[in-house]
Amino acid sequence: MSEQNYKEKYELLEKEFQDFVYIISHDIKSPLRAIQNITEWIEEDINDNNLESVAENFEDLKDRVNRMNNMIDALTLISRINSRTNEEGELNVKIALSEIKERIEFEYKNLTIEIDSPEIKLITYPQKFNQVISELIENAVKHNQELHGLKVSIKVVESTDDIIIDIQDNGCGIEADFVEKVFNLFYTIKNKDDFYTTGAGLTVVKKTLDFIGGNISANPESQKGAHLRINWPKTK
Amino acid sequence: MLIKANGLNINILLVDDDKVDIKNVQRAFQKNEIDNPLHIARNGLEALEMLRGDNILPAPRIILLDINMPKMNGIEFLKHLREDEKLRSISVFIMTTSNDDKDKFDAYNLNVAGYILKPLTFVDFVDSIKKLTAYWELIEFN
Repeated sequence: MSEQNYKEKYELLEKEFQDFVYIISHDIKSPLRAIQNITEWIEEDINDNNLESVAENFEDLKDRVNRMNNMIDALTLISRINSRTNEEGELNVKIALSEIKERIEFEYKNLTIEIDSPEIKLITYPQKFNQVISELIENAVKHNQELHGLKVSIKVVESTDDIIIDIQDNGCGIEADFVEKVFNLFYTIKNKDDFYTTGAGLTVVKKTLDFIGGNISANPESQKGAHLRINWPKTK
Repeated sequence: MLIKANGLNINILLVDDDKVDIKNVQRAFQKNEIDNPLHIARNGLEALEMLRGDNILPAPRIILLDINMPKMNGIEFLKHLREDEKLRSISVFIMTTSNDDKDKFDAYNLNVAGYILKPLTFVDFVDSIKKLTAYWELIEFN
């Protein structure tokens, strides 16, 4: 590696470290602060013999502990994305997608997955491909639980250096204001008290794609439902 | 105790998305026997709707504002507020978690009445309010 490459790599690592410290001191500190508050309230409520409030506070306490756990698990998962495990191999895109379709449709009864893909084989990271596609479909399910008849269409088109995967669903969609923010770690569109998700799924997907030299973006102009486009390189 | 302006009890609006942070303010009010009505909006968009729709009468004189909220965050909300003729003169206290947030806000020059470090340190809040009501009396704000 040239000196310039080392310098760039160093600066990237430095930035990632700073981002990591920021996440710890803001996102993870938040439930910790709540836990501190709630434990004081429990002491006060016990003194006042307000047991109903104590019970409610314990529920909130458990909820915040849970959130902290989830965030730390997400960080651990993200730190593992860049590890070069020996999982490089051949991927038959159409077959892989069919297997994912079968597995996930079996799990979620009200879901239809449509696949439109050419017969194409890549030398890439098959496990990561599986993880990324599965996460995106399951994300659509998670955010559209009230919708009966959720449909996710996956269309693959071959290009010169990569394959382009378009994933379109007929669910609630992602508003234009949020199409870039949704990939930020721990960012959630909905209020966590009303609808809880850790907000790490799309970040894991994005970082996986960064690792393999691909790309993901959300279409801000999708008419009905969410439209995500992935560029997956043909050679690793 | 009731915080008053011109002899009238004022309404206070809390804009925060987090249930525990909201409870913190409610409990602090109770503990310090502040009896002013505390209204809640869960994000900037909801707060603007409440203010513009005259849901709260008389209109709040004080807003306690959280920064990190879904849909519309604190900075965006405050920009909208200052651009609105009817709403621009409401006193806004920012609830921050660190001094970094304070610097971030100062940079926008949005006429913030004060910063309160989370969790709500009540002594600070009450001091800020006392200064504010004294100022109001001084300028005979209608």
